[in-house]
Amino acid sequence: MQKHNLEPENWVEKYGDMLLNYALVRVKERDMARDLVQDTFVTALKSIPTFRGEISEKNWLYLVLKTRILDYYKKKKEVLESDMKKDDEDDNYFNDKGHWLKDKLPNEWTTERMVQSEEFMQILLACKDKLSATQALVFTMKYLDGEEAEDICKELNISASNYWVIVHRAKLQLRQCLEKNWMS
Amino acid sequence: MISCKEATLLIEKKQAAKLSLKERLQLRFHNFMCKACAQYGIQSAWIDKVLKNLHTQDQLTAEEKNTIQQQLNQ
Repeated sequence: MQKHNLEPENWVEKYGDMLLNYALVRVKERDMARDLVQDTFVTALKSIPTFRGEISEKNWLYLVLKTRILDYYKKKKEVLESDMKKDDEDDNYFNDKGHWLKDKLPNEWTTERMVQSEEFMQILLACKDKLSATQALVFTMKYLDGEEAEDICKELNISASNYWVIVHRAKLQLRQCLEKNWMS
Repeated sequence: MISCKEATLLIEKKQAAKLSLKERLQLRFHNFMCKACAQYGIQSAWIDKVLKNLHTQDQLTAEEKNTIQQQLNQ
């Protein structure tokens, strides 16, 4: 198998923008995304002796960034725990019988608005940024990293039913935000 | 009949996990009776699809690149 090489002198120019965009959809603030990219390059540079050339330089840098992002969320562990408690208590969408509140009833969406334009992506991103830290982390792992529910539960040390409550709440909120800001 | 809260939770689970026969029937019956939850199901599946394509097209400024490069040169 071909061994891969590292060329750190070209990293910033070659991968800087790619890594920035990878981080931007995963954390809220652009400054934080940029700092994570910088952090990734610095960490990678120090870790060069451990690089065995089994994956490409690009994938290796992605892997380092992915780990940095998870660490960033784990630092917010206390926030995560209080989020979950709050999620359990509040119910902003259904009444005590579990029926839709009148002003939260889903409306029909027209197919003309169900398009993935760049303009829509901006709205989607803005709606995603309104999710709580926990919801954002679970969404990142589920949709952007394509991880299985079981693995996410293990990684975050949450129960399956807790996981579904988070996904459900996040989806309700995201749907509502899209309907308000894009569909109508 | 299950509530809208339960129905929408089942809709989310359906995308990742297999529902039991009972749950499938409960959901089908609910969606047949409840237009709002049927809409929710269509919209939720669409949101799942677009979330997988979520992306940005940003760039580091020359200044930011310089700062990072300087960090690496130290």
